[in-house]
Amino acid sequence: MKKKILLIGKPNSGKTLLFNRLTHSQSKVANFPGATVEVKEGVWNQDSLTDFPGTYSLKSLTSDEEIAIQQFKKKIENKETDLVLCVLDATRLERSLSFALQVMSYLGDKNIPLIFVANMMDDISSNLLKIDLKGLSLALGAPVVGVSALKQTGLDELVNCVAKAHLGSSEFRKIQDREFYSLAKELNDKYGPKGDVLLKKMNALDQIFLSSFWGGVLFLIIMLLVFQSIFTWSIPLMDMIEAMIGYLGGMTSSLLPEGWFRDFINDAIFGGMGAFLVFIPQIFLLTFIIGILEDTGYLARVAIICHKPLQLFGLSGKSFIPYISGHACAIPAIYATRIIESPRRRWATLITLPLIACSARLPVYALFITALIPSIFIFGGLVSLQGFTFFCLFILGYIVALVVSALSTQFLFKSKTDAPFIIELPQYRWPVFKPLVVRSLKTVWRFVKDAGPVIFAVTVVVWVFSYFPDGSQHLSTSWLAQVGHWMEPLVAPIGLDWRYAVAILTSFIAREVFVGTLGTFYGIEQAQDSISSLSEQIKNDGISLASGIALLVFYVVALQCVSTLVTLRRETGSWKMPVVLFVGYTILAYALSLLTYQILV
Amino acid sequence: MLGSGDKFMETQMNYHHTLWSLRPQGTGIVKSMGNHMDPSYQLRLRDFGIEEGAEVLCLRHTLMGGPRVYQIRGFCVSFEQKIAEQIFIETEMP
Repeated sequence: MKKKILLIGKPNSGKTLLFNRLTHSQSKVANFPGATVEVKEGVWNQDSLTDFPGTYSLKSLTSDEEIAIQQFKKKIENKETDLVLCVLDATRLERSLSFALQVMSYLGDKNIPLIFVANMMDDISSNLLKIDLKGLSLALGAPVVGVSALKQTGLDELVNCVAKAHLGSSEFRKIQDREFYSLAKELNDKYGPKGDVLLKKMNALDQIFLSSFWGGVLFLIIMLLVFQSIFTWSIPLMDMIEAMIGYLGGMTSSLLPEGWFRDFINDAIFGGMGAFLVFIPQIFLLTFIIGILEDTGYLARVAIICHKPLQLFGLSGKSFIPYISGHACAIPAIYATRIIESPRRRWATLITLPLIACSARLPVYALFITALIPSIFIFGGLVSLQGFTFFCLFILGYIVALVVSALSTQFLFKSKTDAPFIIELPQYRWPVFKPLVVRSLKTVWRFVKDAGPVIFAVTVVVWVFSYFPDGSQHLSTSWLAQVGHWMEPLVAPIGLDWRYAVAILTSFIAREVFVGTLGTFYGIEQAQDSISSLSEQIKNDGISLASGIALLVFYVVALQCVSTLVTLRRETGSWKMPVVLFVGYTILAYALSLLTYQILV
Repeated sequence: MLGSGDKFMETQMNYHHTLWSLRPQGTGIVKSMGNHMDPSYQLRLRDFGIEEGAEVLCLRHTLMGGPRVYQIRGFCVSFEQKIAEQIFIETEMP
């Protein structure tokens, strides 16, 4: 018979990793409290398994906890549950037990079997520690199975235990609120690991990463390295993809007869789509490096380091966690804001998230940096100027976000009360590279799958309207040119022509469409058999540095992503915030790019 | 009720401080939480092991008076000033 199993536990107890292992899913896992913010369903050996966001107690403080607790209780009360798996973090047993006892007390006489899963047993054994699982099981009156979701050990025993779950007693005594903590301590002292070797290891690293001086310096160095590496490490792969697209384009052209179809393949497919595909290595690297930061446990430390400075701007140290996730994509980052207890600071984080440079901005940044910024090294040959410019654009996004947050929390958000900042420090862990690579590849694939069809559709439309009525090499007399000329007065003040006006217009669907549109234009204009690099073509076209930088400033601020707007609507329950943000950021982006051009020209 | 002698002993043996006033590597025993604290936060603090009688070790202060790191019952947690000032502790006289 198919069982309905619920998986519950404290934040950062490795629940979601266990869920992934059991159901062969790829849900996001990270080493900081609150990584899971949604209830997820999966199938495990024909049984249904539901993973809930981690919660510190059965009384909620944050919105992700509220979701977890409400849905958990609903499933129990509606008799939709055959078994509860409560995950314990074996390395912090006392803390996990205080929650486990609450679950046990809540289940009371509801006659639902309960199994405790002591996760992270690999950390216990590798540090020569021990837990008396048998003794703990007898004391709790429910089975306790030791597993390591990371190393995939103990999972067979868990399967056996689940199969026999209905055989035991499923009645638990009610425990008073005040007793949870003293009882947890008593059980931990008796059956838990002895010694504080894990804490000592963690504290030794925190001496460096949380040091009053070095903590801040290291944070800045790590951030600079992250953005430097995204730019510099991806170059060989990008060159390879570019050469491959050029080769394939040239070969296809030589095989096809002259005419509009060959031009279409050359301009729209290899010029437009190809220009977008070149940036895949950078998107992969960005996701991979953010994954490393998430998995090591460093992000929780960054939240502490950043709390005080961010507080000055109406944000929380925890805002940095969705901000960092937002560099990969704004959509999961919007959900990640649920870990922020204070409604005011969460609101400020939500409205400023669209300013954090996501992977879709990457192609636009990289294209113009390559075209306009010389490939030289600065600061004694340590830092590439292109990488540094890239870093500056990311920083500019943060600066605008901080200013917007400070002003809006001061003048727009009525309630000035705040929930306090409390964060638990996770153990430092080495990232496990294989799942991280798989996760990054999946993100890239999802990005290509989601953005690809949109870019293709827009590219085809742009190509048709810019190819006809006069065909190749007559872009200036095309239908799209006529539309572009009407719009040209809008971009002329920043030194750009109608082609950029059209490319900006199409990118309001999604930022990355900009690159595809420009690629198509340059393809038609040059009518070459071989596809040369788009950045080279932009450079040869004679765009000024002032115009290029002004355009980049526009892309730093503008909210050009339909998916982000829809997710914001879903998260806030109304169109008010997305519409205000869309209009507000478009006007601000335009004003700032005008100002930049006037200063630089 | 304590007699005057007991009171004298208490002031000699213990300093009454808040968690925020602990120096790095300083320890204290939690005595109570501020009356103005929201009950839901009191509950959350209890989830983090902050209850009467719990021993707390201050691990470190951070940059610009940011949240401080404490060790409580085998794990580490960070509190900002606003909340740490509402947790009253007893420390041994240096």
